Amino acid sequence: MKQEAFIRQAQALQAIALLLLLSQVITDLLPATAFGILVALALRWQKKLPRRRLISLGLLSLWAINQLIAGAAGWLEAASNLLWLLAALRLLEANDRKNIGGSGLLLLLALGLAGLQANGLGASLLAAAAALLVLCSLLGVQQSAEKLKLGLFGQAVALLSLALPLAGGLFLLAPRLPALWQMPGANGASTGLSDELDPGSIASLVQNDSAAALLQLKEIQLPPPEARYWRVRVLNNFNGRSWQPGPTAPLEINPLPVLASKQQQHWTYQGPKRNTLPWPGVGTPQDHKQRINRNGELLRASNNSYVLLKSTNQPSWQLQPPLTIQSQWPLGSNPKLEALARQWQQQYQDPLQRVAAAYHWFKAQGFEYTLRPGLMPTQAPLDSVLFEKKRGFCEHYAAALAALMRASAIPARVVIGYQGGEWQPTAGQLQILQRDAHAWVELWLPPGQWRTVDPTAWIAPNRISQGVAASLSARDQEQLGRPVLGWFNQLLLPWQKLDQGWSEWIISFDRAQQNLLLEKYLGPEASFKAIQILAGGLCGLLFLGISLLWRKQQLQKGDKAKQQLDRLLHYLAKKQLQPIPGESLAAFIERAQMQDIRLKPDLIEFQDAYYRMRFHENCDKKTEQKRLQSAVKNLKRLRFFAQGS
Amino acid sequence: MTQQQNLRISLRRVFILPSALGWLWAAVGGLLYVMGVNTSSNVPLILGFLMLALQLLAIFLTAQTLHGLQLQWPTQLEGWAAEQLPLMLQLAVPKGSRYLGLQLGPSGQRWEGICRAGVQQIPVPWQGESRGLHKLPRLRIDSQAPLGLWVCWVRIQLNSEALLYPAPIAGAINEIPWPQASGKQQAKPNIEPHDFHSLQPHRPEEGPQRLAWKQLARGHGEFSKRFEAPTAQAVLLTPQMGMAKEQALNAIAARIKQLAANGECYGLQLLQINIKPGSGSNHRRECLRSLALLP
Repeated sequence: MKQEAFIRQAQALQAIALLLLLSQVITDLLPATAFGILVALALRWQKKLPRRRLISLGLLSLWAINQLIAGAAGWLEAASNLLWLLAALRLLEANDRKNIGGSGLLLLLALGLAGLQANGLGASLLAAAAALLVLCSLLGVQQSAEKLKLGLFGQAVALLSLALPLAGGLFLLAPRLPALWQMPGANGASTGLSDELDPGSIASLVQNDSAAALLQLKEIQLPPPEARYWRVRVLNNFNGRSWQPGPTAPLEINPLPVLASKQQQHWTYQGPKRNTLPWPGVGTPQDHKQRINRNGELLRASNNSYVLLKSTNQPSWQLQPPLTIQSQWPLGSNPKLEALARQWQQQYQDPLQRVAAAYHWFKAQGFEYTLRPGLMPTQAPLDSVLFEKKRGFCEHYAAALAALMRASAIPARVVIGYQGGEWQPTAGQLQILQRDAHAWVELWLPPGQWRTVDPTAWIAPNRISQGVAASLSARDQEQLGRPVLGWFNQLLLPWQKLDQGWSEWIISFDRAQQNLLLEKYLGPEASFKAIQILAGGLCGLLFLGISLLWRKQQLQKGDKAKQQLDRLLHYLAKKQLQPIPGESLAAFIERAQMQDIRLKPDLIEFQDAYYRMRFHENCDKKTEQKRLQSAVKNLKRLRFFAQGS
Repeated sequence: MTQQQNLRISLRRVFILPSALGWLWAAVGGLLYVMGVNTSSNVPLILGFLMLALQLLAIFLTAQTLHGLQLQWPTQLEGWAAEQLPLMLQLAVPKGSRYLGLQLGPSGQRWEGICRAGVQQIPVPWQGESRGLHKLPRLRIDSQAPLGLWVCWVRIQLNSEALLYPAPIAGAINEIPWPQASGKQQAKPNIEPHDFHSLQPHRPEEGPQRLAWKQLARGHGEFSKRFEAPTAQAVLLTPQMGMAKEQALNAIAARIKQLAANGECYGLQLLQINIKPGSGSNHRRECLRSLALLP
């Protein structure tokens, strides 16, 4: 069947949209999916497509193979890959108006799904371009334009710009429901913080500039830089080389309900999905569904935004006695480290003295803080860190100190999270980036509580007080991606600012921030008022639209003189006075006034005004129109007493 | 010239409901909202809200596509039963092109196509199954522009009538030669002498009516035109005995169609109808109309 030009055109537009979409999720695209889609699109282009069902079957089986190969791929990845495949297939099969609409919808759904994975400014702009193309395709199909015209894009842009304010209003005001169900595999993401610490396997650390979390303080002092430790995950299990979380920690006993404190920390987590969220280790979650476990990890409830209330009690997780796993030490895994620990154990009875010994030892060794420590040997990697290479970053030192302490019979664990953050005075918030990721140690020390010890602070105090950049050599700073010189980065700066603004204002605008904003402007019961405003706004818009259309209709009826003439004729017709075909207005009016002389003044007035309005170029139309109106009105007031004279 | 009716579509006549795509669109928007809420991510949320906003906007834009269309259509149609008899609708589109669908009656065949700005003639298909005078069903005009999310339509009472001749289905009929049939030798068939035959030298008693003015103007001298009616034998068509009425009417209609096409001379004699033989388009129309309206 020969397809019409506009269908082919819409297909082409949607194909470009699909490619745009795929380009931004290219890393999540399973290779077979990508290959399948590209082959199918290419075949379609060349019009060498075999029977459609065959292709569909082929692509779907490709996807199934994908899933088998990928195996542990998360549900999100699987679902989005399937959706992209379906969108591509639907696009290939779209050979009429209806199907183009359907494939456009699938593309939009896929766009939304892609937005879960990539939501930076660049990705969002690409998504917007793709949405624009889909819109163009829908418009084009309805207009059935044979040639692609630039006007179509203009129309799509106009449509979008009309819809954007409305969408913006909805975004700001529409109530956000809490999550309806827990998404499976929410901790599947791995960038930023990883759940395993294997410092020996990292040759150089690439710093990630993306946002991790945002902290806003209410009537509470910002802790000094050296006290900004935001814990996320606790690693209990050590196998001689790497640290892992170990068995799931039981939940803490439900804390006593606290009185609502005005001293609050408002957190917004902006990183990839995790089950545990950053927090300072003290305070009580406002949401009673949000729990803390015995490791001192704050579990994700439903939302990435959460409020912590200040509490004066010592957090109970600090007092939880160590488990056996927190003292376990694989004998012989790092012999030199073990020997040193044994020596301290014999030398100092008091665990605090052993920690002090470690402090002095670390200070004396001349360790270098670097992001490029190089790989460590698989055999006794921590020995290599401490006694040979003597270089590394927080993970190396935290892993080594925790191991040293365990070997000297002090229960120890590694904590990973963030340290520091950039205070933004104008916004009144602390922005924590992924590059602030940090690892430190917790030791079980007398009189019986977990205490924080950070070996990185011993080696590179600047890392703790001034951030990563301050503690690095110039060579390492380059690796941070923020060289002091470099015109290219200068050019990129505005873009980075925009990107930052986008993720700060749009991407991280969630329920908590919505509530904050609404309460700021609408006062108490803000969400209820917001719904009222929204409903009012929508009604107003509806009214505005209808009245605009109505006005347009009235304008198109146009010709006021004709309207008045119609009124007059309608009125006279009731009195059996109708113009004879071919009769002029003047003749008709004369005939009418012959019938009833009382009509004469108003009819003369009407005729004069009518002729002036029709034929007199410089007359004041409004005055004449009023004359016409009043003449008709006066006539209507008269009563006909007799017909004929 | 047949009489015409006019109408300008105003918003007051327009109905509007979501199309199938519109329902799906709303569902996808809802799905994106749930997705955004559940994963606390804003891109799907924004997309969902944008889709909702577009859908709301589309209500007005869709209603706008029918507003201001001007229609003109004939009040009288004539044609055969059980055959396509399109209503020639004159449609004036104020601006922009749009995809419209037109349909006469709920069971009528749909006309779909692009209507561009300006005036165009659209044959809206219609077919009546039985002979007689039919009132045309209501005309429905619908549109889904600009996005296909809403379908808006108007229904227009046309106040037009269609006269349908019996369907021309060949069958057996009686053909009685005429004038023998009536026995009146003097009676002449009602023939319109319309076929030009030849030119003859003009005689003054023929009057100026038959003068070949063209030849005269060219200076070829005075000639008069001579017309001749077809020489074929005139016949009277009557139904065969024992044949069902409608079947007989169909057969006669078919024969009339055939005879008229050949320019032959025929008359009708059945029940109340008694039409003298004749030929020409007016005669044909008279015969067929009487067949159509036969009670």
